[in-house]
Amino acid sequence: MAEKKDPWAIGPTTDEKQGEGGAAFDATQWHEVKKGETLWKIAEQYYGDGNLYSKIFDANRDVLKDPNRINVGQKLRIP
Amino acid sequence: MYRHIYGFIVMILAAAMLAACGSRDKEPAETALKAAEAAVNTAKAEVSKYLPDQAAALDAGLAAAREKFNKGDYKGALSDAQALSAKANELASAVAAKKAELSKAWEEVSTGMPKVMEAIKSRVDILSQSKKLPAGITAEKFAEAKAGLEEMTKQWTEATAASTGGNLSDALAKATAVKKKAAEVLTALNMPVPEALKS
Repeated sequence: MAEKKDPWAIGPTTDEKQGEGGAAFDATQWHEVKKGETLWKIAEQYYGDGNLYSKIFDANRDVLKDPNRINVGQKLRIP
Repeated sequence: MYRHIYGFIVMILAAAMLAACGSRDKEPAETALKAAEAAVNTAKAEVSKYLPDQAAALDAGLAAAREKFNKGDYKGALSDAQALSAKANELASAVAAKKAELSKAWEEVSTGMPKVMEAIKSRVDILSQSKKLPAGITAEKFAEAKAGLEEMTKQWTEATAASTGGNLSDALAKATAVKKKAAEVLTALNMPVPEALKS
């Protein structure tokens, strides 16, 4: 029986991390959501401009359905 | 009188025996030398390419064997030529192992580096749209990162061209330069530096 994927799982899976090229070349930047943060604030932190939040939202559509709803502890890819 | 004649005959016989022995050694020495030349010529091109420090030893070994042969030291020439053939074959095996090692290294870097470069390009593109750069990234740093990306893209094109041309040593040397530059750019952009770029 195939292992059921946890729909609430967050952050990179082993496969995602190691994929082609291996983990040794993985340059993906991850951000763990803290209390009170929004995509706007995270975009401001990494890009200097909150207006660019959609870049983060687009890169995390597999775990985010709504840009206004992010959860503490969620690990987001920062493109 | 007879003693003198006897002594003379003994000397002639000894000289004849020596000459016979010498010419008996000449043929195998010549054959071995030709075989060694062939083995060296076959191995030399790839040895020069993949194990350049060993190529000179092959030439020197061949020259030494030839010199012994020309001086009539057929036994020495035979021994040297046989050892040289063995060395050439040993180096051919070492070249094959080196090629396999380089191919594996190239396969890893050629799969991994495009992803690193894509991550850098993505960040540079996004930061280029930003009205204000984030804390820790000055305009100067960002300009350097953009120039670094251009430089590494050019170097990567050269590395892949070297690989396509069959020169894996050159391809990997260029890839090492790309890795170094990528680590600098990632650091300048406050991005994590992957393990493969740290060594």
